[in-house]
Amino acid sequence: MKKWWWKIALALLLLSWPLLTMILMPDKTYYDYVASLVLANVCIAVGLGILMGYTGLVSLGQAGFVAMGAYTVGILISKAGFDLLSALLVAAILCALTGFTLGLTAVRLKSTYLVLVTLGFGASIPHLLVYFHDLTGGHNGLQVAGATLLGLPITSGKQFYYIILGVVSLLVWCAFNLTRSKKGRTFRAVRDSEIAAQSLGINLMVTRATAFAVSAVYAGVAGGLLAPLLGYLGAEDYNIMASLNYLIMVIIGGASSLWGVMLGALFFVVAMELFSNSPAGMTLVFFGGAVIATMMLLPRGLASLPAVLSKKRGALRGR
Amino acid sequence: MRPVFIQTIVNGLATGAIYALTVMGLVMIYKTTHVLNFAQGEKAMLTTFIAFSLMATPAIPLWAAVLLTLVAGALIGTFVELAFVRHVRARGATEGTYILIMLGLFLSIQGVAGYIWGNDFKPFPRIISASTIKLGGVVISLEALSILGVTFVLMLMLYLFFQKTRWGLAMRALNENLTTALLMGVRANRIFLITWGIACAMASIAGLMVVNITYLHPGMMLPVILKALAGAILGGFDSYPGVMLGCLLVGVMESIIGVYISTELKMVFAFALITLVLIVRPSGIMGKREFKKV
Repeated sequence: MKKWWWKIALALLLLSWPLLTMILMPDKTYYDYVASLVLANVCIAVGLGILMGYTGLVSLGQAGFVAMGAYTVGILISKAGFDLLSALLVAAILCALTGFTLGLTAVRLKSTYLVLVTLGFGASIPHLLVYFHDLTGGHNGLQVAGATLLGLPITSGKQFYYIILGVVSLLVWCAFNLTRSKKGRTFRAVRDSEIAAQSLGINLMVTRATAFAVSAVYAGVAGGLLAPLLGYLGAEDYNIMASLNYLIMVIIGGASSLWGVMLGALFFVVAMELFSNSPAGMTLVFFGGAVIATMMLLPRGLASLPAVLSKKRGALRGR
Repeated sequence: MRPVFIQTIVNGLATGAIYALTVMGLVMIYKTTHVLNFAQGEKAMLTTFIAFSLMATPAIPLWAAVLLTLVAGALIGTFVELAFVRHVRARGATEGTYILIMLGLFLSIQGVAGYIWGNDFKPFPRIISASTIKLGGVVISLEALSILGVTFVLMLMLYLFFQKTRWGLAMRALNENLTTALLMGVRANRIFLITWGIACAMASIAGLMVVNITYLHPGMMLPVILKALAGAILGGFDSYPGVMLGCLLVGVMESIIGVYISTELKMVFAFALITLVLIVRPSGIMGKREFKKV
């Protein structure tokens, strides 16, 4: 296979990124921060990709899980003195349980109605965060400081980058294995035909709820990883528009391929940073246009671009 | 009953009526063309901004501004059908594709409005006076009454349109069975265009009603469309009376929770209750049960 060398190149690039930025731009930590942001978003997008592309369920409330992870980790670290890893574990368990419960409602509902339930979940979380302001800081936000890893304090952006890289790589590796496992095939069976899957003895309820739990864990862990890096959490940052952002990544990248989903996350974060100084509304117009263009011209996302291009080239050659 | 309670109910009904107005066009488009128009609220927002600019022009009288806004709504609707939906339909798209295209439109329209008019909160000139009427001990705002009145008249017109006109009949036929309708000589493309036009003109009326109770802002329709959609699904998406009932219920529920429990938890309770109802009755209160053939 020709594929193995670019995987090694990617791994090398990811591992040496902080060193590269240190050599090329020693006075800037911005590029480490953007890279960490890309990795965290890759994690959320992969979770949503498993839900959308592999199980055929749409969630418009992923930001709710991201907020849950972020606030759990933030509160545990800064108020209860937890270690980052144990705080992440608690966040993951909490998100898994919530995701599973939310997924249980998916069984009886049509896809359009399920969109509404997840939308409602996503819309409710910021309100709940404001309501429980004693714990979360409400409108004033939550300061997250003093994160430690295995007892050692984490101080620089580069350290955060490596921690995020480690956790996200592990989760992405799990995602690839999941999609090739028996459970992953059950997900796809349910997506392609509920009735056929049921007739093969697949439990629809458990399968869908599990898919939801998995995507919730990915979102929650990413949120938890970002919490100490951002240092400040605001309830309004996790509204419906944030949930839509994750959907945009998955759509532009192509939901049915994990590589595509990751590409979508990269595209989104980089474009977002490039647009950070543009006039009001231009970012939304760009991403809105990108989503429409993707759906009309490339329904399977960026992941299908090479195949589509080689087909076109073949057609030109008169094959 | 205590006057506060009755006031809460009336205000809730008015809010619910706004939800019904907002979502009725969406349901109409969904039933005829099977496109879940997620961007319906944003179209209402865009036309309200257009109305804002028209009303700021001294040469245009109020009635002309409202009329032009309706025309603008209809034009935007037909444009969306012509430019995006028709092309994708010809390729045989699924409902999911439509939803995602509408999502793209949702973002783009919000962006365009923010770019042209800015992202700040603007007060909208009052169309309906802020005076109140006293009935016994109950104070009812003229706004609430006129919103209820407008909704009632529009719903009546919509009912007559569907039952008594050829276009309405054609829309119902397309909803029932596309292929049969085509064989019976229904000009599907033309009817789709008319559906989009009427539905988006209705959205612009909804926008003018919503802006009476909030400020003018590119994000103003998002909470409205969320709860409107919830109401429609609660009542049953495939029945117009069901949609109306569901929206009124959501409005009243929200109003009661806001007054007696907590304003911050309005959304949370509303969605929790709707989810519970949907688990018991997956097709909504008045919706038809669905059966799948294997």
